[in-house]
Amino acid sequence: MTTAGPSSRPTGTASGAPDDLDALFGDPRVPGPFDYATIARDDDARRVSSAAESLLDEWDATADFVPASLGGRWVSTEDLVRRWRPIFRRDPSLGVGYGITTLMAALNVWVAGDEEQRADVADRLLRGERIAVGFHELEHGNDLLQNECAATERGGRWFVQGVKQVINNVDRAESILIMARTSDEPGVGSHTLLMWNKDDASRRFADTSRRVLTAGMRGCEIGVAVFDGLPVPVAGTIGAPGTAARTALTAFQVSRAVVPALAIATVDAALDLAVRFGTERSLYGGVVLDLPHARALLAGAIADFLIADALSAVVVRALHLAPAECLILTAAAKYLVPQLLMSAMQDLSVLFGSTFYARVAPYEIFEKFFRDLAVVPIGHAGTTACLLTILPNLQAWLRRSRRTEATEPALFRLGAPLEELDFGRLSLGAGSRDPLGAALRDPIVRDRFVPGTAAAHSLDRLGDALDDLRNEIAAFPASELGTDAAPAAFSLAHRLTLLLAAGAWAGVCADEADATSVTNDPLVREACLRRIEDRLRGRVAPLDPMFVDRLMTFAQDHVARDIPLAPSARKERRHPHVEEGSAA
Amino acid sequence: MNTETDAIESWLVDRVVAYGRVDTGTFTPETPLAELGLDSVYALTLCGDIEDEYDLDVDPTIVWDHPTIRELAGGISERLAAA
Repeated sequence: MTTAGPSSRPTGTASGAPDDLDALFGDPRVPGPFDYATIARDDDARRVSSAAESLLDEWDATADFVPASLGGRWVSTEDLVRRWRPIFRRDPSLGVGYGITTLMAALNVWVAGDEEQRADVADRLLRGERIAVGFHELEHGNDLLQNECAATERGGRWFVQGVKQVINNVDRAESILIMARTSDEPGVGSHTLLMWNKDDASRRFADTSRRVLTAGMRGCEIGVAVFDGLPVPVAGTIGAPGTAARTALTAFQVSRAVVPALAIATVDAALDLAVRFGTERSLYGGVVLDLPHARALLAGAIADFLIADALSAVVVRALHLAPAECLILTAAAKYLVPQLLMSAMQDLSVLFGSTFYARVAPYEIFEKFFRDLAVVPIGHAGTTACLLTILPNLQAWLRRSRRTEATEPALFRLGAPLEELDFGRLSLGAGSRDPLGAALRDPIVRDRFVPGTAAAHSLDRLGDALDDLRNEIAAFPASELGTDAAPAAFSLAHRLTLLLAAGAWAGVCADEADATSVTNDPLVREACLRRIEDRLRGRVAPLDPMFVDRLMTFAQDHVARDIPLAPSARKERRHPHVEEGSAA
Repeated sequence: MNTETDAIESWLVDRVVAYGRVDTGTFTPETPLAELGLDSVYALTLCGDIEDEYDLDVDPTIVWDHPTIRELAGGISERLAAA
């Protein structure tokens, strides 16, 4: 990527203020301008905190979405996730409403825009502007190729006619990236991306005023855009006409990796609340966490969370280290991670019991987290759409998987430096190898699991399960892997995502770079692998008491020390104590 | 057209027939694959066939960029020459 002379901004915030949002926001459990009670009240009023948005403005939050080569702060996507996680620990709808959809729109420009367009969008983001993603039409869901909102070109301008629905920030964003049909032909070459920068002259050809009310992410200003002959200069065409689908399919690989990794922070906060609740709440002559059933529920949720964290963190690193393989990897993450996280949240909702549905302070925020997270598996790349991305690639994955002998250790070294992302290396195919599947049989990984131990046996069984899956895919007719595929085909793709998660977990455990990480604990390693084995069989049994006790000790220790549970966050402190005299 | 591209073209015709959705003689190398009812899933299957036959990793955009058998044969030939 070339530098095109955008305005440069200093990184960080004004002198003296901490650069860490956790410190700037303050502890959400302690009364303050952005505490859990205020967030829950704002959510009821269907708004996000204006104080928090002002703080993010000052923090130049959208500079994280601009590649450093274009004047922004984005080098390592892992750092981007780390910097934004404090928002998702407090209010996912603030994260999405303030910025994530702007990232999604901008990604298309980083992928396909020309030098001038990239510089212009970089400048806009560095000024704090928003861009809405005007792709979605309710009639067609994630079946983007059927979208009808059309544009025709006359005299150097496109004229857009049609409707886009459920678009975040459609009214307040300064620009909308519109996916418009520019040919009546069926297929992948009939849509074009158009950047509409709202101005007084064109605004009257669009109505963006109607808001859509949603059950989750209530604070987001989601609405409808009705275009009636909206003029967009031809210079606003992002990529060549007809390339909208391939640009979006490339760009969304990045958001499919980033969004699940951010959702991890919300569940991290939910687990923290659950441990506190279970330790404080008296029931049947003890506290909740004295009850074996409650402990098993919480431990199971923690195991699912640890697996989800490993997969999402490794896939974020893969954007940089295995970009050609990211079509399948990011689809797997966006499919499985929200599923694991929602399963964990479901278990926690049982643990909270009446406190969940009656929304009892100080735990009322959990009920909001639950609703907000339910939106994550829908979004721009729905659960089923992600499996449909994997399905037709199964045969290609099989060929790569069979020829991949070893994995790549750097993928699993969470937090190790990454160079700026090269969007040109993302592909729409299966790449050339299977680094996550290979982790299950990698000699170094197996050695670190200590041959002969129970965890090593579990790893071996998962390696066998990978072989079985390969054989089943080899025997499956290629012509039956399309959108009309039978449930049996979907099950193959589902099992593949679980085995990729197992590879991610095994690889992260084998890294052993951080001696204090829970991923070094043999019991925790085994508990998570066995949880994946259970999920492969389609039946999740309660964890064995020895795993439950170990996972509970881990969680209670981290909560007592006020540090996040996610191994990917091992360098973060949840609520760092701000030095005296500095702004908090 | 050189003989190599010719050979690729006739191999592609065989693959399309082998997929089982169209019969020999009902199409020419210039008929768009989309008109033959061959969708994006087929594009991926064909990519796999190309990889196996020519030891060349390709992604489905090759079929989007070369939507007929004749153009596709040319695309494969170019990539083989560049490999």
